[in-house]
Amino acid sequence: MEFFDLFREDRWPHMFCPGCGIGTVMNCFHRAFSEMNMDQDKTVFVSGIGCASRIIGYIRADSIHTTHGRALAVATGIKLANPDLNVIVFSGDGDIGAIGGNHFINAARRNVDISVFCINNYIYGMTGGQASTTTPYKSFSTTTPYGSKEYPFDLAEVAVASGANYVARWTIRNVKELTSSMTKAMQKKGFSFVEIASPCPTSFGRRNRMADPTQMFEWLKIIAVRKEKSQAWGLDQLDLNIEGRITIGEFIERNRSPYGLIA
Amino acid sequence: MQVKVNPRYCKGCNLCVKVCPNRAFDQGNELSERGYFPPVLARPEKCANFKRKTRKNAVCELCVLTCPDQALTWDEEGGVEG
Ligand SMILES: Cc1ncc(C[n+]2csc(CCOP(=O)(O)OP(=O)(O)O)c2C)c(N)n1
Ligand code: SF4
Repeated sequence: MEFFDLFREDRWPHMFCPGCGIGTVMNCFHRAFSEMNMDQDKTVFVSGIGCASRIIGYIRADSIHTTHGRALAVATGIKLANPDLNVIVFSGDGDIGAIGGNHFINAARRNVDISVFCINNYIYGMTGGQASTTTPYKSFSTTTPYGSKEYPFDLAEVAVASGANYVARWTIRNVKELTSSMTKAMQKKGFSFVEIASPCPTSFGRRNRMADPTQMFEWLKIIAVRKEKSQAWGLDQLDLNIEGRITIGEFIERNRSPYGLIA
Repeated sequence: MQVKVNPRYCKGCNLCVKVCPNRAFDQGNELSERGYFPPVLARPEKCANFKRKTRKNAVCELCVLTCPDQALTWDEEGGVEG
């Protein structure tokens, strides 16, 4: 399947800013989707509100753009109403970690059979750069002009603790690993969650001395540390600050029985 | 085959220049129709796929996978036979 068999060429070039990582996620998703030979007509894409959520508007398949934060609630409903459909959710960190936080925890707890791809750009991109629940400590945004004094959420660990069946985190610099993680997430029965650390040069970068897209791209290389190494170094993700590190890798794979399909 | 830059889609972010391990790209300095500076494939012979003929057996592909604007595609006619 060519890229523009899955995405709508008539809407190109897309609306994302130069250097925004969301386009890279689309490339990796297209690779994963076409390698799996999935049926476009049997797949539903769900998203909330935000830049990351705009992906589904470019996909040639049935998609639903729900209200802010409610993507997982709608996705749960779709999966339960018609278990034959593959349900895929694209969402941002604000969508899943802030306003939709409770839906996220409970969808993972129920282990609904959906795949969630969360593009974490550490900021509310679409509304102009307010601090989100994942904004690193001490970093600047329109609502934290003196540097954020809050500690961020670790979305992947939240998903692990809530009972998701598959959880991974990559940055957009790990395109190969990200593609195979997306494949695994779509194959896995039950709730699977892939967090993708992605640059937002427009809203995050400009306020944190990384206005150039390549600077944010280099930043992602510096902050990402593989799981094995991070354990050896004793890194604590919860202390993430602007000079801090994030742990990347696959965090869990288990086989709890999915919601609604319990024998 | 070699990578082809589509100036209609490129937004000049230069991530390909950064991501290529063999430094095949250079930052461009010619303004495109859309008002961006697309990169140029300055050293195509350095690309790991230069001697490969079809997209199916391409290796690396970091630039094509990374390009957030889908401006990089494989040109199977380009490059050297071999
Ligand atoms: C109920 C409701 N509250 C607030 C908003 C305003 N709003 C729109 S997008 C957004 C933030 C989205 O951030 P995120 O999910 O991180 O996506 P990003 O744009 O960063 O990819 C907010 C707060 C809204 N649309 N609806
Ligand atoms: S505001 Fe940020 S997240 Fe939104 S398109 Fe621009 S770079 Fe991407």
